Amino acid sequence: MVEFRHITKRFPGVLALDDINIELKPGEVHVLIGENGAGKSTLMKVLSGAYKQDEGELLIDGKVVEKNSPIISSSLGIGMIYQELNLIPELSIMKNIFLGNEKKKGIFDDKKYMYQKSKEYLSMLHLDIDPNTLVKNLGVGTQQMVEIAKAISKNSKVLVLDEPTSSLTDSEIKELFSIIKMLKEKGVGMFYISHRLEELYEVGDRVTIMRDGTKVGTYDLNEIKMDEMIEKIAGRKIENLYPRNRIKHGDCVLEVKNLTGKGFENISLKVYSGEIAGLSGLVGAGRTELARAIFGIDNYTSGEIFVNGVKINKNSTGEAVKAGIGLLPEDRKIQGLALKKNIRENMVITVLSSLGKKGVVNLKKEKEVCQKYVDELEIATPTIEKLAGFLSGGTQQKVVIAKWLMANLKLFIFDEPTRGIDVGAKSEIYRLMDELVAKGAAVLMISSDLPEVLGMSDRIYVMSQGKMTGCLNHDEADQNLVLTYAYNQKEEAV
Amino acid sequence: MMRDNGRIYDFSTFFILIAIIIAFSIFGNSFLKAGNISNIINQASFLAIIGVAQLVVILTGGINLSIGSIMALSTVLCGPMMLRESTVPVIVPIILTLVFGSLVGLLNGFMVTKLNIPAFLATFATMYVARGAAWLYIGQGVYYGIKESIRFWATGVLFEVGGFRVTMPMVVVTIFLLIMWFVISKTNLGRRLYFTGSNTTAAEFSGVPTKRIVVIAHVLSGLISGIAGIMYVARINAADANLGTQYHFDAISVALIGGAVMSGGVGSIWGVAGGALIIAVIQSGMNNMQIPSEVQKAFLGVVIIFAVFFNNWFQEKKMKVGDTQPVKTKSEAKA
Repeated sequence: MVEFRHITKRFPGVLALDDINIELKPGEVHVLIGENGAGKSTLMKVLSGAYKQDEGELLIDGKVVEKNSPIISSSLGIGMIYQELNLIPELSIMKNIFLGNEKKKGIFDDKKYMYQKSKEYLSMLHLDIDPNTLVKNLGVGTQQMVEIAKAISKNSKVLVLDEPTSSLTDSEIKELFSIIKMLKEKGVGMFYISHRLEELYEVGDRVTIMRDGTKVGTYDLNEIKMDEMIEKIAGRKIENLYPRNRIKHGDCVLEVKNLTGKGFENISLKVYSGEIAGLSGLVGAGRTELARAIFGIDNYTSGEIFVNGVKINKNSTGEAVKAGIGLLPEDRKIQGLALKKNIRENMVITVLSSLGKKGVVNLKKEKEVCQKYVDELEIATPTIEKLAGFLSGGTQQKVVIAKWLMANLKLFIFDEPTRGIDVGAKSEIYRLMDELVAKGAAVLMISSDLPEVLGMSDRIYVMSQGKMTGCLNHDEADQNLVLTYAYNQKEEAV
Repeated sequence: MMRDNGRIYDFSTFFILIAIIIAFSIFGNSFLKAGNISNIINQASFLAIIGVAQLVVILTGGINLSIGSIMALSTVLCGPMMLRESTVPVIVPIILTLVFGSLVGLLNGFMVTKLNIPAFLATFATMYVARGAAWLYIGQGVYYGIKESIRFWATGVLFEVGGFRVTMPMVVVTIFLLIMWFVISKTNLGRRLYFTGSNTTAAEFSGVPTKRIVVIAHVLSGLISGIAGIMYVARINAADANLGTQYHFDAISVALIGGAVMSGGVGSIWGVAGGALIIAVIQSGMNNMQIPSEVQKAFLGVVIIFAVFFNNWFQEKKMKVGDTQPVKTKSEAKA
């Protein structure tokens, strides 16, 4: 149905796609995997017409597509469902489905027809909702279904699903998979992009692995094992994903005493130098809220925070940084970087006062220090004057990390440090964390990834519904025990 | 290491300036006479001050609509002390004007950071409040007849070279711009100002006291408005509650033409200087060609759109600096 023939795409400084050949068969779920920046999204953008390939041909239904654009590809039956949803929250389901495609009766919209049709599409997806419901009142999972309904309404023969499960709950994922099966039976071909390797076997037929803009190979999912796949994705054998050299911990760096604030209550915890303390729990357990309060972004109502025995004032990130606390935020693009500023300006923002004298910046010193970190972390950039907004995702992450490494912190708070990151970069970040604690820093790591928490932490704190429900040593902790604590209060799952 | 040639893109404003000067010297008569140039620079000096007052707030992603009102209020309050017959030392009303300007700026900053009112609305309200206060204080009429020692700062001519008069405003503004350039580009405060404007959340997550920075920007804007107030009062020889009712718009024009971006984080002092010169050149050039002021306004609007477009285009070019390394495909590399 869709065939990529020798597709090559260059971006300034990067060869994004190098001679890619892939074919999608009718009724096939074709999985695309690879590290961030491997070229999966770029390839899909060539299909949707958002990008034009520099070389090669794109064939849809056996015909070469000479001129492509999002409108043309949509009319050729290509439906895109992105990670970030493209629905308009203030409009109803029906209006969203027919947006730009309204059925007219004279000069007016034929509401009756569109209502009927929407209802039909929704029931096809086992959704019993009134099409007049506003999209903003729907959960993320349901919104995704509406996206699919929208694609069906356009008679799409090919669907592209870009990380469709990343924000769905388990039951929603199940629902999605059954819909994918149904669409398959109708002969719809699908490209499926995901970082979650486990689910691929459940939903996919064939898999194409990509790395650095090249195709590693296409395999039948029945014939390739998971560890084989990981090896091919990373391009090397990952011996030990969690490289930990556990050492005896030192003094207490962070002490939180009976902290209560919005989203958490009566929390006490300690983090020692030389240790990684994991903070586990379900989504919504109050972990991020706690971290924000410790770092001074949000206020809290009662309790105290001590760093090396000295009490720090609440609600001041400036004070937290001075005390030696840094937070690597969950959302690096929004919370970590000023995209309009260059690498240097982004890196030194945390250490301005110590680099310069009397409030005046020292450009020469800045450049030296930045270059040092660019070399050390192997940050891929031709110059430190390059704007952060023009770096690739992985490089941006490294800049955020460099920014905090410079600050010479006593305590690093990592909030979901590896979410959305590929295997190779993950192990790099783990190694970095291990080095940090080996040098005497303390790390508090918030993570929803259980293997990661178990593999990296010396001690594991577990929160549930805003309360601290357990603290486990790494040798006594296992998956079940952590989950028991995480569900501690009531058995209501997410 | 490759050469960092991104610098020239910071001078987009001056390319526009040169283009406009060339245009006017072709179509207008005696446009390039020394006396005329001197007039233009003198006029631009005043615009540059209010442009900087606007810039410091725009850099944080805000806007200050109360610049004209602050100019009026702060000078009117000190008006009696600035009059010729007053016996108060000159320095007192000057300092007080700056203090009043800063206080109104502080009020703006307080509304923006503590009450979470968008800068547009907060300063919009202040525009009326400050103007109203100035009217209340002065009633009908104006304080006319300003001390010569104050007037000298805005009207004094130092010397003349071949028809080109070097005036006090030029000197004052040059020093002012140098100081502001240092503060904005060379200090930690300036760096944090830009960073806060680029991404407030990231700034906060980096330990930058963003609220304090925004307050400082508004206070600075108020203070500079006070300076502008004194300069204008000294020039027109009167303190008047109706002073500068449109100046906040002029200030925005200057800043935008100078390359500032409304969403914050982008803009420079020298851009503002260029922007002020551009507006002064346009006014002078069109007066010279005897074009009615209504048409001038329309033309100014066109220039703003053109300048914003041009600056944007240059900014994008700048973003791509360092992307010029050749890229080879694997097959090419093998060959």
